[in-house]
Amino acid sequence: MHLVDWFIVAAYLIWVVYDGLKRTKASSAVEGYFLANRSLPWWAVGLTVMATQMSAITLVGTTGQGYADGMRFVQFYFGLPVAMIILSLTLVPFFYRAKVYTAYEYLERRFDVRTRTLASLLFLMSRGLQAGVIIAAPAVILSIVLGFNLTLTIVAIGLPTTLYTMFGGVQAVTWTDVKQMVVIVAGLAAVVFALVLGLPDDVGLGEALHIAGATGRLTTIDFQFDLNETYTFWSGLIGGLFLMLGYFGCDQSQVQRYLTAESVNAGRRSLLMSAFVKIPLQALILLTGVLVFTFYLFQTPPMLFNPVHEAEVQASSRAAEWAALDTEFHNVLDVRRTAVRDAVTARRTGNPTAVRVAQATFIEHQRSLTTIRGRAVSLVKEVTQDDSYNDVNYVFPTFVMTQLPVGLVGLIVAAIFAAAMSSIAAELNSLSAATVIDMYRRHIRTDASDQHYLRVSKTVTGFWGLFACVVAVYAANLGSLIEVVNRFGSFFYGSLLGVFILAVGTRRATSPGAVWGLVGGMVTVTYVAVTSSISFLWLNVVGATAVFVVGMAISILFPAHERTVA
Amino acid sequence: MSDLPSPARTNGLLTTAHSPRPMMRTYLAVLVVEALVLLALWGFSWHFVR
Repeated sequence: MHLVDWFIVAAYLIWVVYDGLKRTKASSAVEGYFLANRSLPWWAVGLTVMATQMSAITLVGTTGQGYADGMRFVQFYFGLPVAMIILSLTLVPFFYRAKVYTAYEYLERRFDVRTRTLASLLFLMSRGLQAGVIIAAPAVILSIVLGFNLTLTIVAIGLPTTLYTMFGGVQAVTWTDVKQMVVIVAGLAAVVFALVLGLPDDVGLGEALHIAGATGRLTTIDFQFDLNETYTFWSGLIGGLFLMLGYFGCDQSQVQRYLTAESVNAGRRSLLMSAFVKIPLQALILLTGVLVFTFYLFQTPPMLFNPVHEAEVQASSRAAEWAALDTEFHNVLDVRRTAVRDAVTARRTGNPTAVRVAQATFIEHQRSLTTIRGRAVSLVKEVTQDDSYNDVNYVFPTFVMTQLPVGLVGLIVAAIFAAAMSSIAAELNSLSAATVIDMYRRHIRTDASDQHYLRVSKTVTGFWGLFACVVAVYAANLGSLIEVVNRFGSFFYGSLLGVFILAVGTRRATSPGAVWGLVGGMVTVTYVAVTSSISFLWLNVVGATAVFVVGMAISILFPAHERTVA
Repeated sequence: MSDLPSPARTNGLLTTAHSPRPMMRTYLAVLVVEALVLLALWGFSWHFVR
C-alpha cells in the first residue's frame, strides 16, 4: 500500500481507539458498563445493531459472492423485516420491562436457573469461538493481500478492539460502531462510484449490467420451493425469519444492544432501522460484487484472486500444467472481451436475434473461463493439499489493492477493519456480560460490590479479547474450522428461539420442558443436518419447532408447579 | 421520557400492558417498504435478465 493509505488506516485505528477510551468515565458502574444506564438514542442503537451484524466477512465475502454467483444471496434477509416487527411486539418490551442484563437472565425468572445457565453456556461457547473466526477470516485475507504477517494482522484487529471495549464498555462499543458504520457506508459508496467510472468511456452502466444479467448474476428472487436450495424466496422468508428471530431475539450480542436504549420504543425503533435498511444495503453490497465482475469484463483479472499458493504451484512438478492453464485463461479472456463488445453493439441495434446470438457466444466463453478457474483451484488444492483454499473471498480485496487510486485503498482497508472491529467489540462486551451476570455473579460470588463486579467485567472482557485472538490464530491455519464454527450457529439459534417461544408464548411450559426441549431441539437439528441435504436456513425452523414440541410434551406429561414472573 | 408500561404479572405471557399501538404505523411502514423493495428487486432483475 502507498504511504497515504497506511496513514489513513493508522489514523482510523488511532481515532477509534481514542474515541472508545474516552468513554471510560461513562462506564463507572456495571449498569453503565453493560447497558449505558439505558440511556442511548434509538438511532445510535440502530447503527450499532447493524454494525454488530455486519462483520468484515459480510463486506469481503458477500462482494465476492456477488462477483462469482450474483445477487441471489439477498433473499437470505427477506425474513428480517417481519422478524423485527415480531421482536418489537414481544421480546423487546419483555426484556426491557424485566430490567435484565442478559436475555438468559429472563429464562431463570420464567423457568429456573438450569435453563438460564444452559442457554448462557451455549451462547458463550458459540460466540466465544465465533469472535475468533470474525477476526481470523479478514485477517487471513488482509495478510495475504497486504503481504503482512498473519499474527500481526490478527493483533492489529483484535488488540485495539479489546482495549477500547475493555475500558469503555458498551458506550465505547456503541459510539465507535456509529462512526464505523459511517466509514463502511462511505467506503462502499466510493467503491461503487469508482466502479461505475471504471467502465470504458463507450460502454454505459446499463449496457454493462445487461451483460452481467445474461449470466444470471442479477437474478434476485427465486420463487422455486426446494428445501435443498439455500437461497430462495421461501428459505429467506421462512427459514430466514426464524434465523433472524433467533439471532436478534436470543443472542446476547444483539439483545444487549437494544437494552441500552433510552425507552422501549427507542429499542423498537433501533431494530426497525435494520428492517428498513438491511435489504437495500445488502443488495448494494452484492451489486458491488457484480460491478467488479462487469469491471473485469473489460480489464484483465488474475486467473485466481488468491495468490497465496501460486509460487508453490509454479515451483512444483505441475508447473507446466499451471502455465498451460494460465495461457488458456488469457486466450479465452481475449475472446470473451470481444464477445462482450459484440453483445453491447448488438443490444444497441435493438435486434433481438442479434442480441440473443451475441449473448449466447459471450455466455459460452464465460462458462469456459469459469471451468478454467475451477481447474486452477483444483490444481492448487491437489499440489498444496490445502482443501480450504478459497478464491471468492479475495476478489474484492484484490480489486481494491490493484485497481483503486491512492487514498481510496486506505479508506476501503479502514472499512474492512471497521466492519471486523464493530462486530468483535459488541461480541466481547456481550461475552463479558453473560460471563459475569449469568455465571460469576449468579453462581460464584453473589454478594460483592458493584465496583468489584465492574473490575471483574473489565478483566473478563480482556480475557475474551485474548481468547478471540488465540482462536483466530488457530482458525486461520485450519480453514475448515471457520466453516464448522459458523455451522454451529445454525444448530444453536433455532433451538434457543424455541426456548424463548416456550417462555413467552405459553403458560404451560415448565422448567424441565424447557431444558429437555432445548436438548431435544439440538439433537433433532443434528440428526436432520447429518441425514439430509436441506439448506441450513431451514435448520432454524427445525430447531425451534422441535424444542417447542418436545418442551410442550414434557411439560404436559410431567406438569410441575411453576414460579410466576413478577 | 419514559414509555414503559406499568409493571404487571404476566407469567411469561404477552399482555396489552405494553400496547404497541404507538408503533403500529411504523410496523405498517416496514411492511410496505419491504414490499416495495422486493418489487424493486424483482423489477431490476426482470429488466436486466432479459
